[in-house]
Amino acid sequence: MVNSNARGTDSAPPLSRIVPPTNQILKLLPRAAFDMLAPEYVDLRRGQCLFEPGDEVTHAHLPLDSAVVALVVPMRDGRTVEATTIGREGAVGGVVSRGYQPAFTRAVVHIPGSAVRISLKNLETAKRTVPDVHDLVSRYADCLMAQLLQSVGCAAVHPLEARCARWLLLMHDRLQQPDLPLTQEMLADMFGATRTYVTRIASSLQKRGAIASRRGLIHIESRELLEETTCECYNLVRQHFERVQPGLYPALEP
Amino acid sequence: MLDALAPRDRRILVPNLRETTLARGEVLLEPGEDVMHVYFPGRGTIAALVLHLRDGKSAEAVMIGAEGALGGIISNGDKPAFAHGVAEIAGPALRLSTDALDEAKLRSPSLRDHFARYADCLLAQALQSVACNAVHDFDARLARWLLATQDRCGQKELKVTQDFIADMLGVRRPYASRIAGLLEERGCIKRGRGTITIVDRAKLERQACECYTYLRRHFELVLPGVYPSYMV
Repeated sequence: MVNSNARGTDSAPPLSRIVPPTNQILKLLPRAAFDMLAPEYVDLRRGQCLFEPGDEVTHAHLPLDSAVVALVVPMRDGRTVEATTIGREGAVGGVVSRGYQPAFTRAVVHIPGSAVRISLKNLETAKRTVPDVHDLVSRYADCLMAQLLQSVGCAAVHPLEARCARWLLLMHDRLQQPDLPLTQEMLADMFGATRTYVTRIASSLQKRGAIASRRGLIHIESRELLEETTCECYNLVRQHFERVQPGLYPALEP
Repeated sequence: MLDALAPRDRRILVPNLRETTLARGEVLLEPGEDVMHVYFPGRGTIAALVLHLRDGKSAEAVMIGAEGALGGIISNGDKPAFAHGVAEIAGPALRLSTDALDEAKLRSPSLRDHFARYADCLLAQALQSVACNAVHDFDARLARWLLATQDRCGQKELKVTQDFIADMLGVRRPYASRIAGLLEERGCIKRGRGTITIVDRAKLERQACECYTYLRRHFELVLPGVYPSYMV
């Protein structure tokens, strides 16, 4: 399997529909590179796999609007644990490896929406011929790595409540609205924690007025309370994004 | 990593490589400071990217030995470092300016490909460790860390203290010491003063989580022959 969503582009709406683009990388890409990149518009369905471990990765997917893709690590016991999520701030697939290498993780759509996909062949050509494209992709790769490095430390040291708060803040930044279409069960799976444990943490966050659980979604009641609850990891990574490539991290609209 | 380069690519880098010796604890990268050099640990030398968290806590994010390099590997250099780059086990290393590496990558597509492949392996290491730290028991994680350390330093006796291990794995010192005692009781290791000796590697491998094998396999797929195997 190369790409489960390798659907034709016959039915795809013209790219003009995604202008202004709601992916931060697309926003920052020089317009002159667009022809070379030949981005295609695709839909991402919840649960859809963009690649599995061992697959050859041929495209980078750039989530638009509210779409969020997770890189998950399948473990021996059947659990799949999330290593990171990627939304409108980034791109999934071949960013570091430049593709045509076996994927290490599974990429699965957590929150459905649309995306733009770019063949890695085109991306490499654009990187070689347009220095700004190469620079932007390197800067994003650096920010993605920073996020992962911080998450290694965070997962080792910080309590699940702080990690949950960090995760919810990241989702809020990407979706740009307080209703996150997620259930507590999904949250538990992502953290590799038991549902009872995650339920306990969610109800403690709810009691303090940070979130409210509704049918099939988690509503962010107070961003401030989540910021008080989370660990330093949230801000450290955000600051790194802002330092390395201003405008890459999605800023909440006031 | 450098040994696995094609001779032509190695010749491009050699004039700019500087030999150096890393002392234990030597700081190679400081968060916020621009990365100016790439370090290639020599055989037996181990470096790491380490995070200093609030309240004096710390944790190792990735370990790097002769299979790799640190400094601008993912970012292509000249950007502020995010983590602390530290030498964990002293030894020889080679140093290269990020400018010289960038120039070499422009000259040789195969050299650029080699570095992209290693960057992918480094990313895989971080991805696996996020998940591992989230769900695996500490005895399995400790076993994994000891195996990875032995692969890179190539010795039976690892010059690491239990306090150091606690700091790298982000746990309290008494806890690290208790679990190391457990691995000793199971006949995997022997604790000495400032050292840990791996007495039965096969047994230790059975204590480790699958993360150890998964990463080795990815290295073998992406960069065949580069991951240092410890020969019993």
